[in-house]
Amino acid sequence: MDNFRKVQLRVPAGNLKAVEAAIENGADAVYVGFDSASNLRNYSGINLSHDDLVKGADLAHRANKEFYVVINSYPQASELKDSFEAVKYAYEAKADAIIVSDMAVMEFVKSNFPELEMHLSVQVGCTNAEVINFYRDEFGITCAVLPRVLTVDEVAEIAKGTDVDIEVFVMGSLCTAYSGRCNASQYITGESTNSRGVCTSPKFLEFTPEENLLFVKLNNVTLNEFDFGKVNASPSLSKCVSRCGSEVVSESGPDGWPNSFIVNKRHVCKGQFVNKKTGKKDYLLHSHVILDTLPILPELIKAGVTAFKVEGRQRPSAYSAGTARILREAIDLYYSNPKTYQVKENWLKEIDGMFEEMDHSVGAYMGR
Amino acid sequence: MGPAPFSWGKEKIKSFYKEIELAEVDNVFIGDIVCHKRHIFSSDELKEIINGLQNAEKKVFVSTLALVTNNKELEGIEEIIGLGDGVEANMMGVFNYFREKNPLVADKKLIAGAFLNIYNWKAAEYLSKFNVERIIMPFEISDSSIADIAKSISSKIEVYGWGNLSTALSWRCYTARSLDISRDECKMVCLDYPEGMVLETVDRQDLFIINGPQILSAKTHCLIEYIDKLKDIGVTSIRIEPSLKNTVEVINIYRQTIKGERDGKEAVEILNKFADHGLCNGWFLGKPGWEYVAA
Repeated sequence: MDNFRKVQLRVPAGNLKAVEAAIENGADAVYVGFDSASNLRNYSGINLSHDDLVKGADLAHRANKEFYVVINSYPQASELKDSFEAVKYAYEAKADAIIVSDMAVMEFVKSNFPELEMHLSVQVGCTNAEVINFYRDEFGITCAVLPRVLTVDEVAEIAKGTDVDIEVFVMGSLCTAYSGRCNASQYITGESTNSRGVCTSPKFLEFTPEENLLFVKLNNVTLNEFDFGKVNASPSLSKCVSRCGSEVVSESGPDGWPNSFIVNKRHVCKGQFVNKKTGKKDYLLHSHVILDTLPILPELIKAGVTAFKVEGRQRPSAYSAGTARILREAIDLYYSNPKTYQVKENWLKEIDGMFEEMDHSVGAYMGR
Repeated sequence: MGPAPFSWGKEKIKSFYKEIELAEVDNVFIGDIVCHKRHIFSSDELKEIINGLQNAEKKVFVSTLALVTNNKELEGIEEIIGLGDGVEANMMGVFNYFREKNPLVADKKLIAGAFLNIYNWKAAEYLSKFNVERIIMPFEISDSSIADIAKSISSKIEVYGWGNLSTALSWRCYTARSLDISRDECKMVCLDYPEGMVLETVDRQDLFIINGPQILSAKTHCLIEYIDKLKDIGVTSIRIEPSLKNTVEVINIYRQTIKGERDGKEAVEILNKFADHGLCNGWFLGKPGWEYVAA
């Protein structure tokens, strides 16, 4: 057992309150974004200022936890400055690592802050060991966050093929797209997801009533239609839009209408479309489930995973606290006696309270 | 000419490339970028297609998958990367073969594919240490970003000039899912849909085309009106995405326009007839991708 390393738990935080909540509830590391286009959750109301980065890192370090800063957009010429500035601030805040995607950013770190550790973001698309080893050899990457597209067997194959630490998502929303290779919203809005860090900005969203239907439109493209008679209430449209704009900072939780309604409907992939070949009208592009790997945590650990990641920097501090608490308990339970590990009923109930979607799924881990 | 975007099956692919031997394209990319199950040719069969194109004085490049998720698929790449004049890498792991000077790729040219996400000149410059001959720009970056990259590096720059734009890649096979089949059990049902499946909005606007694990734009991206601008900003080649209909005609129209034998306005009128769901070019001009902006 000389080389024994307990799997680490890495939890997202959208603000200082969430940093504190994650740490208090058992996270080994907290990851945050800097307030700019340098990260893939560039929404108003979340992410940390320069001062808050310093405070957040200090909070984590005083609790002997790690603090990571996500700098994972793919900057175009006009955004390079933002990303380089975020690197500088992360370094000054004494972040333990930054989570990166773009080679320009990696080269900047290697040349200017060689002691700053770099992890490969899910945006890179590390679906095999060759990709990871390329970045290890070129830039000294020490950890790779794998995309949510792989089976457990494929994760194990990757872990065997590299000496870089392997981190996988274990809980959160389950996007069906391959991170870093989805421009579906940009196709409609023109705002770059990869470079500006915004996957479907609420500012492009409109709600248009026509007779008994409410149409949800993104930049004039219809994503969905709803029958007023089938929802609980008929909110004023101004209320909808206003709530949509502040949805990402909402601490009130996803219960009730219209807030959960808005949260659920604004992404392109959550739209309802008609397949012209089959005639079916459905949510083909959407994954309406929670990624919940509690039933397969043992398999992931055995596959050689070194860190578990929770998705969702855009979510409230209660989410950071809740996911950290449940997963801490699950991980500790597993290590106390791997043979008797099993999922507890109360974990599932608590998870259901944190998500809009109610079905649990282990995603692609057990087969696509 | 880019690799065939859809699943066509052996016979259609073979006859398509026979036709392309006579077309006025300089470079032909072959292979499948989106799904490993579509690698249906043996090395010998692929070599036969490549030889035919090379004998017709085309340079032939093998395009790799963008999503390589296991060692078997990596071995599949090893089998094909040495077959043509070079390889279009769509995942960074391919660069390891060139760094290690693997004999498989001796004397082969390396091309950085659009799925590598080279968004800025610093990243593009970094690739120059691998002697990358050409970089294919990401689908969604604008003329100003392309110009910024082109002026800063010595590699050639290629942009998508015609075809349905890739808007997402997924772990899910949308085609199989549409037919209530899992990806693992798909039996390549995509062969029945050589132009993909169109998704329309609930108010009947054609929006996307699903192509296995890929979502494409329903509209056809078209830069024919911007040939001079492309030249001005340093673009050295334009990529035409093939389709089973009109590919040779599209190539001819682009070639004539590049040579100055045809006006862009006149060309776009003809090309519009080949675009079943309309034209778009917004991304190139920094606008929503689905918009079309006339020059």
